[in-house]
Amino acid sequence: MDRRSFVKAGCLGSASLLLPGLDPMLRGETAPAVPAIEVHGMPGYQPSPLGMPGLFPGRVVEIRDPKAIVRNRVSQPIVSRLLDQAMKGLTGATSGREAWASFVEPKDVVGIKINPSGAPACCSSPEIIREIIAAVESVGVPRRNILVYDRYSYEIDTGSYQALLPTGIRIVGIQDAFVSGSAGYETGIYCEASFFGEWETRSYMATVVAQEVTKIINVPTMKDHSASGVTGALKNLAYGTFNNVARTHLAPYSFTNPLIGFMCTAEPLRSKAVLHVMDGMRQVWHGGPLTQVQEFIDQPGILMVSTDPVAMDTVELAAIDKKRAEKGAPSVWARDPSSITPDTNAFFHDAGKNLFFRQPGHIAAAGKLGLGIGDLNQIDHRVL
Amino acid sequence: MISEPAESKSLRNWPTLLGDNARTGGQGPHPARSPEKALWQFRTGAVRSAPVLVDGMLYVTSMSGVVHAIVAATGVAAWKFDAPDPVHSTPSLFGNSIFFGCDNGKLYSIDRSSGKKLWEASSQDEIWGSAAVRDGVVYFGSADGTLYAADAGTGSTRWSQRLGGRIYSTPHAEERHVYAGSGDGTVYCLATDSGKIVWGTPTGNGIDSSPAVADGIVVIGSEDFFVYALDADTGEVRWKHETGLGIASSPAVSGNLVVVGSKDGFLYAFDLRSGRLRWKTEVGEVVTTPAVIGQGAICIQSGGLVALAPGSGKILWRAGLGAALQSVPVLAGGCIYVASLSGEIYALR
Repeated sequence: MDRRSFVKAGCLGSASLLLPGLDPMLRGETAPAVPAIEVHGMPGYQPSPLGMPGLFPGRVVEIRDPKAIVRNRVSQPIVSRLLDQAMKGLTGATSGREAWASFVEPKDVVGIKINPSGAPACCSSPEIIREIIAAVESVGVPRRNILVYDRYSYEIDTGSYQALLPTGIRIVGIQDAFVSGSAGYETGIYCEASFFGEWETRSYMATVVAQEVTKIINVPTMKDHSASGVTGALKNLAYGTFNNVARTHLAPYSFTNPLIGFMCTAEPLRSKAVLHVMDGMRQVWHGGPLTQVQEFIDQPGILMVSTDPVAMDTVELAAIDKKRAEKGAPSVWARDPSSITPDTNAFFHDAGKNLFFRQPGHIAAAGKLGLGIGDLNQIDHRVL
Repeated sequence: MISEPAESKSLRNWPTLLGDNARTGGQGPHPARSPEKALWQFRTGAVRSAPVLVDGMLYVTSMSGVVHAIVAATGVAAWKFDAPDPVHSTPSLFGNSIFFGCDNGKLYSIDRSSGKKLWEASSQDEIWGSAAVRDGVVYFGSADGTLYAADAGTGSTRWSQRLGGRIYSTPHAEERHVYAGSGDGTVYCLATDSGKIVWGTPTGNGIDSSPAVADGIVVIGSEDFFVYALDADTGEVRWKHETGLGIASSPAVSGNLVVVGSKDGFLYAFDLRSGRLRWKTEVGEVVTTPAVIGQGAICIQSGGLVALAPGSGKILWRAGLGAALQSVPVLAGGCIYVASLSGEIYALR
């Protein structure tokens, strides 16, 4: 079966009216219209039952320990315990190994998708990645079949992941940040849309995702995002797997909604992403995804696990917006034009300012695409 | 002006990372005034390593796997060598050989006159650190967790020693001892003749920084946020200082001055012997590259090229080059040579 899905303008236009998160301003006189988006997945790929929303749709297990992070130092023993308990809570298994065996087999090539884009202030904690590697090994996957990857090699470098992770695994930066081209990407698997008249209208899927790994463990961080509202499981997967994605936001407008969701529907990404482990050791409530301003980074020591990225991100979104309210910052849903600034320095140091009209509705939109449950009232949010 | 006496052996040459095999970051009386113009610009693939300079020739490795020899005066390419995989490693020069590590797990020796390969030595994983050369022996670490010693002339293995974690730290070689940091968080001292571990001092997290050694003290940063000064003979902690985040930057030492950057965005200056903090200055959002010490200025690449007064830490000037820099500048012959992640190499005067 040809898994190519083809979303025409009329279809998306109809859908957009139904998606509660789609920015009303995008239907205004001055905002550009939502373009047609084509999703070209891998032809003939057989979808997996483990694919998003996975084995436990709507279930999000959250656990926290304030001692898990102290003055930016993450405790290896505590995150080990938290991850073990969370995985057992998610699956009902009696041991960590049994829990991980629900998702990974010894024959798998496991890709661990980190989020180093806020390194060093807020990125996937190497301590959590170490625990995930150990857990995957415990199931019988040899280290040579475990790889840790992200889009930009220089961001991985800034996070010093190379030095901090165990020997024997592979660490893959899909591309050098400042060198363009399609090396490392599959030119036959792509999402196509013209958002702002850009000359390259396609975003290609990374070869490491399409061809090398058989399972993906996704490790997003808890961060607000100037364009998409928050960056969580969905955005970490979509914008870390496809190239040429910065073109979706041109201040003050952003088409991260709905592109993020569409990208996550593309096979084989959808089938391979079997588990999401959200690193909430740090929580960026303003300035994401790249801020280094510690004033906007709390350290709650949270870990969440889910197979449903929509449910996970819905919980994250509520937490970030709650934190912003506590801090007196406007909601990520706010649409006050006076809060928009072209000054990145002002944005990075003033929680009342932003570069874009944020698009947190991308999460609900992804739910409409079948990737998970986006209604907080229907989410089985278990706090251990 | 820098208060400590300069100890450099050379005014013009800069044959390895941080100027010499002691990783002292220059020390020489290289002029480091604000550059007024670019003498030339050379385009290659993304550069994460640092250029080196010997006898008027600049040698640069790139992540596209190409090693360039460039005439420093003109920016004209003399030759290039195509490695089979990306090169993150800063080249080291010794005699007529250039040594560099490659992502394919091999250390290459090439002839610096012709660019022809002389030999290659294998490890089991990528080699990002630079090689240290002393008394005809090349020392290098690999991500396979092993520190290797090879004959500089033939590449044959003298010894190899498995350490506890991935090695991205560039070793420092003295007459009897070689020092390196490891991803297991331990600073190791090995015997140069056998590779036997003499001592290992644990820190609180992995090590991405490279050691500098001066006056019997090993200085190195750790991802546990601390700068460590260790007794070179025993590994005993002489002093340590906490910064705000992890340290990937490698220290530079000149006389009694130690300079090291932290990912918290600050550059720190200490007394080598006492550990007293002389000053700290915020130079950018994140500092991961080593600083170099010239006469009258300390230079570091952090969101551009930044120069600071050695005595006070006051920022003297910044040069924004319109490109991300993750390299280490070379201060030599009245020029500053820098390379960028976007693939440009500049000669600034």
